Amino acid sequence: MAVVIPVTVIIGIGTALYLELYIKRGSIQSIIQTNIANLAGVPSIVYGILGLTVFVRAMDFGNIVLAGGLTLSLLILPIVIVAAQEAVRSVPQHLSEASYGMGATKWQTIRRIILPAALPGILTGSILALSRAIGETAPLTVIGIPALLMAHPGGIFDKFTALPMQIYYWTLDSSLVDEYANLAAATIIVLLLLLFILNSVAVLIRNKFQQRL
Amino acid sequence: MSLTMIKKPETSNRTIPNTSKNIVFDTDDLNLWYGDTHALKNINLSINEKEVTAIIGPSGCGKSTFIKTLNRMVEMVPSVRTSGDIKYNEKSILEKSFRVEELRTRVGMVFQKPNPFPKSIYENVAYGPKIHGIRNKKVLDEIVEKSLRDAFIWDEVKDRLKENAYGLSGGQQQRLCIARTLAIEPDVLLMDEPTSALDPISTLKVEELVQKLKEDYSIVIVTHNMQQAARISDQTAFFLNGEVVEFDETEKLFSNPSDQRTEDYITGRFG
Ligand SMILES: Nc1ncnc2c1ncn2[C@@H]1O[C@H](COP(=O)(O)OP(=O)(O)OP(=O)(O)O)[C@@H](O)[C@H]1O
Ligand SMILES: [Mg+2]
Repeated sequence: MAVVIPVTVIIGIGTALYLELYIKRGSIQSIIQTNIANLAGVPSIVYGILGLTVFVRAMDFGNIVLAGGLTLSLLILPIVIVAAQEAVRSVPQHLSEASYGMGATKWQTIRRIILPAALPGILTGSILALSRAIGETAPLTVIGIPALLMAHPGGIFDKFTALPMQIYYWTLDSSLVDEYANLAAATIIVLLLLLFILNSVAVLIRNKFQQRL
Repeated sequence: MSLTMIKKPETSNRTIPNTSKNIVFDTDDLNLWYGDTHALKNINLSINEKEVTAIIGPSGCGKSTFIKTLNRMVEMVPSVRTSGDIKYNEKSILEKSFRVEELRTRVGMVFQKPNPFPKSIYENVAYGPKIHGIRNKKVLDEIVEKSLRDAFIWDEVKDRLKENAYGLSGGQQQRLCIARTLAIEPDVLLMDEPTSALDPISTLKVEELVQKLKEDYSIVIVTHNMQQAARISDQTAFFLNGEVVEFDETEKLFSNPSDQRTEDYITGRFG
């Protein structure tokens, strides 16, 4: 998560602003737009293979947190971009007009008016995308994360595993070691709670700011 | 078609009211197209300093388009093309080298619908000075108070400066927007139907405000309300289908229009 959040939020917002406010409407813009929409629908296993090739092999990271994080970032980036675009587009035109009308530059208008107004939407979209990343296992299996009983990873260059993976192997081996069944059950609860909290936060943010505009 | 084109002031074919007045804006054969729509046709108008110039005309005749070219806001529409020239204090503003940010700090705009930012009343007024680099809290406080006083809204909001501007009534929001524009200390105020969304009492307040402001500012105001134009303006331009049909002193234009179409319009026979 330490990798996924900054990577997706920064690249996601940047791309959305570029697509909404800088690039000219036209063929290039619509090609990029279509591709992003398509990427959002690509099965996650494909991202896993891409991550394996690019991050683990080509860049030689090995199967560490950084590689996994970047892979998951790729996976949810299209979703974050689309959500952020939606949010930027829904900022009322008359607000940016007022800002330009007082001699503000484009960047000042974006930073002081558009981004603050779009932020709730961007946050909601990002959190929902993030909760998808937490539940993902397939792409991480592909980049070859070790399955069972890892020491807690201390930094982004350590090896790691995913909660769903832990659950799967603990359940599988519960016939060998009795405690594993309990461990698996506990982990499931942790995972569900995490997802529940993330999604509630997203809904709360949305409700809190919806009344404002 | 004889009187359609108003002669430029230099070619003294008509009485130039108040020749002693300085001219802030002077347009020279200004044309504007939205794609294929020819929205402004050969506009020659001069706008006097420290006077109120009213723009009247039926819907779609190009009033908003005209005042938005004066601060080049019209360029926000990608399909816009212009020809001709606009001089602001003798300088051509349509040239690409003229910085629009500079122009828009000199020529402030108030929009038809009140459009405060979703921020506090204080932050709304302080926005302009802040983007132009004023950081000093004391200076900002002073500008905010002065602007709110000048817009005759200080007494109504002085105890709630930290509250969100959306809690104000429509009329108060519009005066707040005027205060916000005054805070950048412009020379010219462009107002596009500033009272069309307001109730009669708020309208009256804004009209009084305009009367007061013209001591310090040159004002161009678009209005659908003929009585309003007659009440508050010194000069009036009547637009029709993108052309200026008549441009004259308000009194003259309303009492003794020289063009039949102007007469028809002000007597309510069309539009
Ligand atoms: N963004 C735009 N794109 C294309 N055409 C436009 C655009 N804005 C205005 N026009 C056209 O330009 C002409 C003048 O419009 P404008 O908004 O200046 O009229 P107006 O006099 O302000 O009308 P109203 O009194 O209804 O506000 C109209 O024919 C309108 O359809
Ligand atoms: Mg208009």
